[in-house]
Amino acid sequence: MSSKFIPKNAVRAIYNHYELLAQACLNNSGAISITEDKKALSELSAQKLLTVLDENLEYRMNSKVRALIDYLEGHMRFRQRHGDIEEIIDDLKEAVAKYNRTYHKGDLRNTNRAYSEVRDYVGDLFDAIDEIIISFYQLIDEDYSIVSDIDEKLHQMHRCTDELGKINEIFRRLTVGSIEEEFHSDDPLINRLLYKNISTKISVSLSEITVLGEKIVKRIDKLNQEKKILERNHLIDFFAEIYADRADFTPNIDSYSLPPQFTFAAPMAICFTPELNTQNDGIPDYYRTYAAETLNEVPKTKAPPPSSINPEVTDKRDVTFRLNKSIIEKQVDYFLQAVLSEQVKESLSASRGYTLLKIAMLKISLEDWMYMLIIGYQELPASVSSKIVIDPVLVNIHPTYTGNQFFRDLVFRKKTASP
Amino acid sequence: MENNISNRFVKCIENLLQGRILCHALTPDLYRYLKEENENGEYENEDRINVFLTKMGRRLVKTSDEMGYYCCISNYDEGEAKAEGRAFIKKAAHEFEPLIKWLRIIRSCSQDSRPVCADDIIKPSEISHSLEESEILCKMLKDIANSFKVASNSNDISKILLAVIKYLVKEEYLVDANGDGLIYRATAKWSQFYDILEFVKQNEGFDRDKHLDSEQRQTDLFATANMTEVLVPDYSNKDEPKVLS
Repeated sequence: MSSKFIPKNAVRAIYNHYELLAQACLNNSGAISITEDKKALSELSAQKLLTVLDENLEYRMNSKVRALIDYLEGHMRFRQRHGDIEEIIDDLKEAVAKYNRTYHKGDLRNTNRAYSEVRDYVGDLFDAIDEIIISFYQLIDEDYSIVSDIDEKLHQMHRCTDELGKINEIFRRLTVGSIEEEFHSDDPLINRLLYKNISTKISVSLSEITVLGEKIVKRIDKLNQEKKILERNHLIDFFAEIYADRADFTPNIDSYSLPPQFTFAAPMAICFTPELNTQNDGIPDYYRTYAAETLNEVPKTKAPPPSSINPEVTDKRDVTFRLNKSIIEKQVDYFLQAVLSEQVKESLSASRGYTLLKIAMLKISLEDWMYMLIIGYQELPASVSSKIVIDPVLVNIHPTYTGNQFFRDLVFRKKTASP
Repeated sequence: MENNISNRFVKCIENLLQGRILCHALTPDLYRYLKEENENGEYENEDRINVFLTKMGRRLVKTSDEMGYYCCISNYDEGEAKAEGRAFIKKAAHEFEPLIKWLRIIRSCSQDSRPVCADDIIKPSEISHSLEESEILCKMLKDIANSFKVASNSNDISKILLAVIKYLVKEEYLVDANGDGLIYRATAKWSQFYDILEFVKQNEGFDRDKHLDSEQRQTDLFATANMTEVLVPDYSNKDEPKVLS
């Protein structure tokens, strides 16, 4: 025969066997194996706190008791609670709607009851928020120096950040604007409770969550660092052991499949082109230094001794030389003459010249043509070239690293002529 | 300003192509340049360098702890790329043993048994102090010097230590922080070294072997325990020992 149920005895039984009940809640969803301490099980069963389920060979904790222990343990242990908060908010919404209905009917008794229900949900919500924040602090402020399983702690921290993110999302439902939209009431009493109290609480909680978030990030960094150090220490000890056992150990690298990050490139010799006469400020000074060094390093070509040269000198005075120019050189000359010609009033672009002179038929690209025009221009006597102005049609190619300018065409014009 | 940025870009490329590792200890200015973030939080300079290197058949790679940058061959499927990579690791493998010994020496000097990590401060005075207290560490240092072929004829520990440090500075594992030889800074070559060690460990199948080995030992131990007959004296009957199964 079971002993008599007395509420105070039930509370005492919970107090006496709290560890057993808490472990069952935490690890086994409130189920306790029949193999546990028989005296404890009979005492708890006597106070209607446990019910035996024969077919499963286990005792099941009363759901109310379990809820109480879950609530108490929630302050000490981290659990995902965003679902609970969401549920409470939904319940609160329903309770406010119910209150509004009774308030408009003028039923004072039911209105008071509904108001009390709203207050209960608000209280529950505050408790849940406090519980979460306390449990997070508990987790973060724990002394990690004694923790051996860093992976587990990292996992917990990542769960925390996930949970914080979700709670943050839920709190958005509780901003003043959202409350006004979702929990609207005509009673100033309810409005004060909702707007003032909840908003204040949420505001404080959000700032707490921000601090927690920062702490978690720091903790994760620290844990990752500790994990890295641990791994490296293992690696050093491991190879020290290998070399102690097998002094002649040589890794068989030829058999390895190399991942991309291990296809180390052999050092590449870098050459520099001397460009000592440039006035371009974009070219760094050390280029000049390198160029000067290169020039100094290059051995000077030894000219053959004058005695070995035996040139045949013939008198070619009064003989007319004919300069044989290629077709393309002639075309360059025509173009430059046209630019300088008084008959041509307008400016001439290289691309236009390319078309008019049918340079493409000579199998020469526009780029080469422009290059040749620049050479032709540079070969002109200074007195002539000074009469021509070249305007490059610039193209913006991003990014330009070297200070070079890119252009797609060159416009030649007489200095006096308008462009 | 633009000119300065361009300089740093060019210097990054030059250093990377010449096979150097870019890290805070070795090339602080270039490392900062690579780590600069734009307004969207992206490493724009890192991308620029990578784009440029890709045109040259190279690629920018970070060490696993992101403390250093180095250059790899972009088309890693090519046989030539793999041959170059293998040659690099083979060369590094010749120095595994002395470098591991060095890491153990430094670790034993550290109060919290911390292995050398990129950017760590290393003080020869502290190492000397630890060496004075331990014969084993002195022997390890001499072994290292022999492997590196430095100060092999000397018996003066501080000279050997300085010779080893000088060698590590030459190989860019360490940098003389102030130029006075009192404080050195570890470079990201150590990060690269740990990455290679990890890679070798995985490829040599040591993880599996060690795991099997320990399991095997455990099983053997139980097997031995089951099979052994333990003789204890039976005080009730002193004539014969009793066998407990």
